[in-house]
Amino acid sequence: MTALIDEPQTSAAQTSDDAWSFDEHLDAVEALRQRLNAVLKGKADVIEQVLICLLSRGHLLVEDRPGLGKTTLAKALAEGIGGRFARIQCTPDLLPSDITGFNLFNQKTREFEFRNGPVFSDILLADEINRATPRTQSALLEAMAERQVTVDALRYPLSEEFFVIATQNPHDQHGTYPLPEAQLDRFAMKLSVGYPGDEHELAMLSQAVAPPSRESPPPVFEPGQLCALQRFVETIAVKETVQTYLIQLAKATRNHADISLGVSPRGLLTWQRAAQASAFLQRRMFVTPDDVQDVAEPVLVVRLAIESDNPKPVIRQVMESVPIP
Amino acid sequence: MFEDQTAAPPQAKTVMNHRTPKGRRYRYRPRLNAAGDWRLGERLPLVLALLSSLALLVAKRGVEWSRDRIAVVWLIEVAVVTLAHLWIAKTSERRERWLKLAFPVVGIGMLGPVLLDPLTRSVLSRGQALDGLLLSGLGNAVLGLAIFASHSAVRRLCCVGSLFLTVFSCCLSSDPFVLGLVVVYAVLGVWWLMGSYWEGLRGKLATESQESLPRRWLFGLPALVVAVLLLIPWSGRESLLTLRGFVPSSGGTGDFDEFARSGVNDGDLLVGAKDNARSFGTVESEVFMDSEQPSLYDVFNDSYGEPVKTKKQERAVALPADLMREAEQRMAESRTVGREFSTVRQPKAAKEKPVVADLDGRALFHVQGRTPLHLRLELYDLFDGDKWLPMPDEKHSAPLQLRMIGNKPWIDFKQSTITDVFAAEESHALKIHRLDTNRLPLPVATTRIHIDRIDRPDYFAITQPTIVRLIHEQLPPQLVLHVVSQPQDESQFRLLLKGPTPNLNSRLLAVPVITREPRVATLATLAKEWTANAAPGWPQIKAVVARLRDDYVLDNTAVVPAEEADPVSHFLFESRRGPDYLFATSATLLLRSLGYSTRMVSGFYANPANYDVRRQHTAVFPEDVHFWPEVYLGAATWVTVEPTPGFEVLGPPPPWWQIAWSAVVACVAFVVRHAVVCSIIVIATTLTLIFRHRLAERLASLVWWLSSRRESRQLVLNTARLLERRGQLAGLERPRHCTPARWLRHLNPRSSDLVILARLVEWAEFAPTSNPLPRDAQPADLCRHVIQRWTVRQLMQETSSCPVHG
Repeated sequence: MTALIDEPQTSAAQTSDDAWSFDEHLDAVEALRQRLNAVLKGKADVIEQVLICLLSRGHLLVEDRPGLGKTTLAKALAEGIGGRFARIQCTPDLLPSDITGFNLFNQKTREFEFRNGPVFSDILLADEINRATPRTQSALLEAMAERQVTVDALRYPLSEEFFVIATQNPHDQHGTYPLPEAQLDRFAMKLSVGYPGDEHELAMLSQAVAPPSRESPPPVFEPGQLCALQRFVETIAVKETVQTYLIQLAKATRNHADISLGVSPRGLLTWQRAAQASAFLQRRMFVTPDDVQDVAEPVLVVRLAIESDNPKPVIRQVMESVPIP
Repeated sequence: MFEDQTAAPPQAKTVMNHRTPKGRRYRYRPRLNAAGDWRLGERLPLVLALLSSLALLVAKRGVEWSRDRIAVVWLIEVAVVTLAHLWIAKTSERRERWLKLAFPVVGIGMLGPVLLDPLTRSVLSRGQALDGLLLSGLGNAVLGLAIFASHSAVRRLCCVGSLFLTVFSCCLSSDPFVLGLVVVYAVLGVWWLMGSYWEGLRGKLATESQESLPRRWLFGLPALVVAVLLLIPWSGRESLLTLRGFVPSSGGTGDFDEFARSGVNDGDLLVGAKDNARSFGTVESEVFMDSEQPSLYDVFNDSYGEPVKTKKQERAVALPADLMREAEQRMAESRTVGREFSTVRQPKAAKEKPVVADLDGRALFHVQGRTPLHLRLELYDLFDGDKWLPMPDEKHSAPLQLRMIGNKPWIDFKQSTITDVFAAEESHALKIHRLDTNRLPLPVATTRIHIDRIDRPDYFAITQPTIVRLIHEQLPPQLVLHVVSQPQDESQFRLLLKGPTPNLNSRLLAVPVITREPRVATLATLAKEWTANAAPGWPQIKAVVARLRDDYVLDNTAVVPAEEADPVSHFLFESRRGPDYLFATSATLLLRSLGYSTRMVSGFYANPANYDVRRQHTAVFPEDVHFWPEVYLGAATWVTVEPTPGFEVLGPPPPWWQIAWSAVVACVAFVVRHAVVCSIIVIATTLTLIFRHRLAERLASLVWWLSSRRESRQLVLNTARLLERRGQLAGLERPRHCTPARWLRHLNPRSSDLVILARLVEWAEFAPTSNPLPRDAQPADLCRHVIQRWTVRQLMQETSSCPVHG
């Protein structure tokens, strides 16, 4: 049998911005995947979900213990896409202006000047977001949803590639402000990094002994390419049967006895976009129910209010209750 | 998506590793978890709608149309509706697109009959009543909904509509076939409801709700019930007849229900209608049609100055004039029963005088109620060796008594003083069409009789002992005679008759002496020989009867040679075959020679074989004239004895277990009679059931080969479906939440052809039409290769047993 090369050949091969071809996009994503795999060892599946989240223009919530590589992942991602990286360590005394920026009176010009906050970056790591007060959280979440900030009645647009990786510690809950469901819905996915395996930890230790590389590698994306790729992913075809399947799944989450809050229409849009990104990573120009299923757990776990300590079996039940089209 | 995540609870896992043992025997193991397929639930409403449509057809057209015509019309409906339904259900896009047409189609179907009726009335001179039009509209609407039943909302509406249609059809007709359809409908409907309920629960309950859809039981139990129910009517009249008497209105239990529609005790509310209204028949009605025929009723009518009728005047009951309707034309006469009618009619338009034919029947009269029934007309006591002489008429019989029961005049006619030998009273209705006698055909233990409005006992007279006649010259046609009698309880005879009866009358013990041969000695010897081992009394009578029934053959064509002067001897000692009167005569003489007072009776035998299941009456034809003896038990009690083989005496109503047992015996007898055909059917069905999956796979392979020249997408999808079927046979059924592509990849991840096929399946199923075939893909070659390689056996051997999760 001949090998089947199934990337699109005609119109599908053309991106919305004709500057990059489908293959060039795939090559860039593959390079980014390798780079992330190099820094976060043994977590290929997590990196796959991060890529899906990035390509679908969503934001990522990582819930895990400290020291598992969240910051490393965010930094590597920022370097990979060639964007600016910023980090906020959330504490209860963090103010909204510490995130969005503030107006400063310039004595020389006798005018107020706007000082950008960390949200004016491409990759923003909001560490321990649940330690910030709800007021501060909502300021960040407005920036995530609208991709803009408003200071003193003036709107400041954020970067088109603006991507938030927020983290929270599932164990140390004392003195925290859990994110409400409405704000959780702004995230596209929730992931857990988890501990690496022994061999990967060994590799990590070995790598730490070697002298660090002086030169940081060039970004894998050319300027504007990520935006073009994100727009391209939005054009991946979703057949009506698959959309009906998505709706049936959403209904199943709303009718399930163990789920008090099902998927919202906004969540459904996010789910479809994540499925499109998954299809792209599978080198397809159309979405299949498998794509929907592949992204279901990280998409649903962040936005469903499940009355169970372990949400995964409930999500599995939901998925198994709806026949594929 | 969940492979590397937390392990699923065991019951929620879908495991595809049902491998067969080394025996390489194909074995299908149905899945019992949430993946249970309920696609059948989409089709059941279609089946229900078609069933209700058939019920409507039979209920509305069952009389005027032949069964073949109904079958043809229904099959056309089935074909059209099913094809349209399947075509629309094929794709979800089409389903949604065509759903917009559902309302117009259903609306046109509903209103069509009403709108077209004036046209058919004026052009074809045919029409329907409003209820018929509405029912036709409902039927059309249900069929229209069935076409769009692939949509869930329409499906439920279709089921509700078909339910109403079935209920209306059931009310419209008492045809057993309609009742059978209702039973099948009910079973399937309950099945659909159960399945829908299970389906509705899926996803709403927690883990335990994911247990199983008990498909095997859901399918098996209704199928078993339907099979048993179908076997009863299918196994012939005997089993059907045994089921009579279960409910009051089906005859024989003696109860009365004014709402009863059929059976012995038709309720007062019974209103029947034949398709042609201008007719009259054996119905007790509040309205009397004017007729030339002899009648018990006369109506004084002075409204139009009728010409003098040539009707022979006889005594008649006066009725008020308002009970009569004048006849505008010749009346049709119904000599059948079961379809009774109201005689209140609207006169038809003058331009159209429809010709109404007589609904003729060959029957002399019909009996409503349990049969067999011996109806006596003439008694004989003296036999001269050749001829039976009738018993002399009663000269001084006691006057008959009139008794009003529920505003109905009944003539008390208690004959016997011994009630122990008879069972509980039971009623029959005799609907006499033509009988050239004035004697009433009555059972032996008649207790009372009733003719509508005849409230004077002097209309009746006793002729021979216990034989009643009307004072008219002959029984008027279309007479409805209600008879209450007591069936014989043979188990009591033994206690009553313990030896020869006292000499009631010498004529009843007379055995003629023929000079040619010593008849008396011969008959007596024969009788003693036959009763050597029987105790005196009823056992002796039974022995004689049993001997005649067992050793002699009923042959109505057998004639005694002309030169034979002693037909009884010829019958008893030489030919051993003959008609029923020879059996009766022989039995009478043999019993007399043993000292039992016996007389000969002629009359009619209401044969159960003539029971008309549809009309629920037993017809009595001219050839049902019958002879039988009656034995005197003492105390003015005579009982019927039946020595003729094939004829039975009516006993008390059997208990329910006996009825059920009779049904079983009848079914078994049917199976034994048709052993070869039944065996072939059973073996074929069993083999088909056992090898159903393999047969289905062969059929699917054939279909695949026939369609292998189709365009690439369809070819790829057909190939995937065939592989799925083979996977089922190999115990590797695809869970319904798993896409075919993922399932194919899991079958054997090392097989490149399956992996490539999986990608092609994804493309064929979900890629937009603008998305061309992947480069270098050769679907035709690939599909052929896959089908040839991945047979069921190969799948069992080479596929992985890894679990598949959504």
